[in-house]
Amino acid sequence: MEERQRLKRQDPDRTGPIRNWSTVFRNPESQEASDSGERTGPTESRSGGGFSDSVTGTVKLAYRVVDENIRLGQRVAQQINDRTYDLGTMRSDFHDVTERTLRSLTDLAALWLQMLGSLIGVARPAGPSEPEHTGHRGAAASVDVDSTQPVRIRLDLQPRARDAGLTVYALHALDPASPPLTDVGLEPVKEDSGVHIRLRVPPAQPPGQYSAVVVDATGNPCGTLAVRVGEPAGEPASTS
Amino acid sequence: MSERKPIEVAVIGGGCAAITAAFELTRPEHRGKYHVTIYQQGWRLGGKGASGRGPADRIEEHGFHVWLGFYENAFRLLRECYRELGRDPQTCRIADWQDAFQCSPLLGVTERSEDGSWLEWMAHFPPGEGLPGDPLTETNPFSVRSYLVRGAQLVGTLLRSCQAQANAEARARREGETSERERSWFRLASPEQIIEQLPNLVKYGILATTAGLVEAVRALETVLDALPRVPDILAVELLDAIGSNARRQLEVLAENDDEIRRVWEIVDLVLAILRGIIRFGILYDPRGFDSINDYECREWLRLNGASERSLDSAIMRGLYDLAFAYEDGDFRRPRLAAGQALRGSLRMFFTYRGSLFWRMRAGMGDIVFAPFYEVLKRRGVRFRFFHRLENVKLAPPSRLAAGERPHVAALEFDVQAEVVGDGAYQPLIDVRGLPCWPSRPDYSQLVDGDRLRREDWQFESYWDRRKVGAKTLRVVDDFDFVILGVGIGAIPHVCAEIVARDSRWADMVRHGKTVATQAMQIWLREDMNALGWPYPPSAVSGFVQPFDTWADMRHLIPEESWPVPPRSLAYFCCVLPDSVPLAARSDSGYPAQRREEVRSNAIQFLNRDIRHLWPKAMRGPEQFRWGLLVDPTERQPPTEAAEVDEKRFATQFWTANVNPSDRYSLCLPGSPKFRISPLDNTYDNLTIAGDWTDCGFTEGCVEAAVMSGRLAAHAVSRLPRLEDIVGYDHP
Repeated sequence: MEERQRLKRQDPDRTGPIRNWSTVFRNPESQEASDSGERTGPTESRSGGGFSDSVTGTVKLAYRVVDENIRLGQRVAQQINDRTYDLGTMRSDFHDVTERTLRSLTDLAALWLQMLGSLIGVARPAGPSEPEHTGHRGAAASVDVDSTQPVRIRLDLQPRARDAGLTVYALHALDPASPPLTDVGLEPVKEDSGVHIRLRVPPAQPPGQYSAVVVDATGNPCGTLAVRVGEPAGEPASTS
Repeated sequence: MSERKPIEVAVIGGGCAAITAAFELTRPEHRGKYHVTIYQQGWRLGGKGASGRGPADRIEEHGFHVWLGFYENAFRLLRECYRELGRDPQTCRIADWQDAFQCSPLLGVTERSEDGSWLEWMAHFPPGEGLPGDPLTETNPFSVRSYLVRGAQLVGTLLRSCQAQANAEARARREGETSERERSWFRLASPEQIIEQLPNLVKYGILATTAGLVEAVRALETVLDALPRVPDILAVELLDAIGSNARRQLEVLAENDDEIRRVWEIVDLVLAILRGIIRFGILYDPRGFDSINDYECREWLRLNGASERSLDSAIMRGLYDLAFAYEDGDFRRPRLAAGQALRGSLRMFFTYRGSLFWRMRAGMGDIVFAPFYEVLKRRGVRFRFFHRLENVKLAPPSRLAAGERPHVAALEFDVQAEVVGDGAYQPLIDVRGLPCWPSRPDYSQLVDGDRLRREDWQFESYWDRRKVGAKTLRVVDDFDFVILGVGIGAIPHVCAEIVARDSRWADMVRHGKTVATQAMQIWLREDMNALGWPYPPSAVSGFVQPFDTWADMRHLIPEESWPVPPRSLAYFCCVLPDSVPLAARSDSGYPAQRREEVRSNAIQFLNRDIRHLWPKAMRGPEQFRWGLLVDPTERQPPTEAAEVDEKRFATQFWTANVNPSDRYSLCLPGSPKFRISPLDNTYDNLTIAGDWTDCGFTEGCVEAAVMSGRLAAHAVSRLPRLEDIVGYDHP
C-alpha cells in the first residue's frame, strides 16, 4: 500500500486585506463574483419580479424625496437672499431663525469664496498669513467712521471685484439682541482705484462682531466686511 | 494505479464560520477533492446562532438574531444553499430564501428625557437598491459616489422621521390629545405621501438652510469629490466652519426641540467623522480605517470635534448596544475600536441592499443551519454530533524534519454520547413540514438515552464534562487539514499547547476579549397596541439595562404550534456583566447560578422598566401583569381573579450565554492587530475560522464569520478567490 504523505497547505499570495481606498474602489465590473449560475437582481423573484421591483422602485422615489427636500431648502434660502419675504407676517421664531441664517451665511461666505477660488484655480483672497493680498487688490481702503467706541474694520474683496457697484447691507451680530448696523456703505475712489468705507456706529451699540457680505453690481458675492465694536477682552483698543 | 483519495478535512464546530468553510470546500467545482467531516458537541449545529423548538414548537434562541442588509457574503451563500436545496413550495412553507427573510426597515432607539421618561425615536430607512447577495456588477454599493449618495439619503431619512413625529405631535396638540404616541407617522410611510407633506417641511427646510447648511454641504460635496486636488486643510476649515456655525444655530433650537436635537447629533457625528477622515489622512493611508483602531470610537470622535451631547446620543448608544461593546459586560466601559466602528457604520448604513435589517421568519437554526445541514449531507459531508474537542495536539518539535513547519498531529475528543446501532445521528425534527432543530436531543437515538435524559446531561455546557468515551484522530490516518471553527473563548482550553508555545496566539487570546450575553423571550396574550406600544414591528435599542435591546417578533407566532396562539412575542437581550468570575470547569453549578441571575434580572426588568414601553402591561406601579404570559402547557388562560405572580415567568424562555464558545466577540481598541488571519500558514495543516479572526471585518457578526469561513476555505483550497469575498478588500 502506498504510504500516505502528510499534506501541507500552500502559502497564500497574501494574508491580509487591501485597505487602500484607491485600490479598493475600482470599477464594478472587476468585482464580479464567481459565477454560481444564479441569475439575480431586480427581476429575480419567485413571484415574478414583484418583490424586487417594488423594493428597487421605491428607491427612485426616495431619491426624488431627497432632491425635493434640497430644492425646497434652496428656494427658501433664495427667498431670504432676495428679501422677498414680509417680516411682519412671519412667526417670530421664523424671523429669528432667518436672521441667524443670514449671519451664518455671512460667516461662511469668506471661507466658501476661498474654497471656490481654489477649485477654479483663482488666487485665494488674503488670510492673516498673506498680508500682501489684504484689501482691494493691494490698494489701501479709506475709512470714514463715526463712532464713540473703538472700532476695528476688516474688508476682504476678491481680486476680480470691480470698484463700481459694490454694495453692503446691514452688518449683523451673532447675538440676536444686538441691532444691526445699517448706516454703512462702500463707494469707489476713482483717484486710486480703491474703495471708501463709510460707517456710523450708534452710541448705544452693543459691543461685538458684526459682519456682512459684499455684493457687486450683479448681486454676486465678492467679499466680506467685518466690524468689531468695542474692546475685546485683553486687547488694546485700535482703529484700522 | 491507485485512485487518489480525497483530502480529509476535519472541521471543528458547527457555527456560521465552520459551516461556510465546509460549504465552500464541497462545491461541485472541487469535484470531490475534499472530504469534510464536521465535529460538533451536542446535538445541533449553529454555535451562537443555534436555535431549537421547545414546548408548543416555540422557537428558543440564544438571543435576537437579525441579518443586516450589508451581509453580502452571508446572503450570497444562503441564497445558493436554498437554490441547491430546491425545496418544494407546495410542501414546505419556507422553500426559497425570500420565504425565509422579511425586510425590517424600522429601527428605533430610546433615550431618557430630563423628566425621567423614555422617548423613542423611530426611523424608517429607505430601501437600498438591489438585494443582498446580488452580483455586484448590477448594483455596486462599494464606491465613493455610492457612499456619498447614500449619505444624502440618510439625511433625508432623518429629516422625514423628525418631521413625521413633529406632525404627529402638532396634530395631537390641535386635537387636544394627551397621548405622546401618535401612530400618524407611519401613515407617511409611503414616498408619495411624504412628497405630499413636503410643504410642511418648511421648518426643516429652514433647518437645511440654517447656517448655510445646504449651500455649504453642496460645497462640501464638491470638496470631497475634488480630493485630493483640494488641500486637506481647506476641507477641514470648511468642515469646521459648517460645524461651528451649525452648532451656534442649532444648539439654541435643540434646547427646546428633541427632533432638531436628534438630527443635529447625527449631523455633528457625521461632520466629526468627515473631519477625522481628512485630519488623520485615512483616505491616503494604506491601512485604511485600521490606522485608527488604537483609538476608542468616542475618543476619536471627540478628538475631531464631536460634542459630548452627540457622543452620548441615543444613536451612539444604540450602535454600542448592537455590538455588545461593553468590556467585561460593564456598562460603564463602552469600548469599540474606532476604525472598525467606522467601517462597520459605513457598511451598515451605506452599503445595505434591500433593507437595513432582514428578519428571519423562523429560528436561525431553522432558516440557516437546517438548510445548510441538508445540502452538506447531500454533498457527502459527514457529521459527528456529540463530539467535544478537548485538545489540539501539536507534533513535538523534536520530530519535525529540517525546514518542516509545526503542525497538528492529533485531535482529542470526548465522545458525549453514542448513537444506537452506530449509525449517524438524525438531528432534525419536522414542524408542520419544516425541518427544524429541537431544543433537546432525541434521546431515543442515543445509547442509554433514558439515563442521559434522567441525569440531564448538558451536552452544550462547558461545565458538564460527562462522557461515554474518548476518540483521538491522527494526522494522515484520519485527517489532512483542520479547520478550527470554535469560538475564541474556547481557544485557551482546546489549544493550550499552541497558546503556550506561540506568543502570537497568546496575544490573540489575551486581547480577543469576549462578553457573555443574556436573553429572554416572552409570549403574551395581548397585542402590542393593547399593551401601549403603538408602532409596527420594530427593534429598539438603547433602552435600560439589563435588557437594552428588544424586538417585536410577533411574526414568528404562526411558525409555532400554540393551542391558543399568543398575540405578541418579545425578544430581549443585553450583555451579561462578568460580575461573577468565570468559574473553574469543575464548578458544575456555575451555569445554573448565572441562569438564575438572568431570571432575576428579567423579573425585575418586567416589574420596573417595561412600563416605559408598554404602559398598559402593568397592574401597579412596579407590578407587571404576570397573567399576560402564555403558558405553553395551558389550554385556558388564567382568569382575571386568579392569583398570578412572578412564578409564571418560569413558563417563558431565558438564557445566560456563558459558555466560552458562546460568548460574543468584542473589538476593543488596540485589539484588531492581534487577530490572526485564517490565511496564516504558521501551522501548515491548521487554519482558524470565526468572527474573532482577522477576516477583514473585525466585529462579532454573521457576516464576519462567513467571511472568515470563506478565507479558511481559501487557505485550504485557494478558492474562493480573495477578490470574490465581498468587502474583504475594503478601507
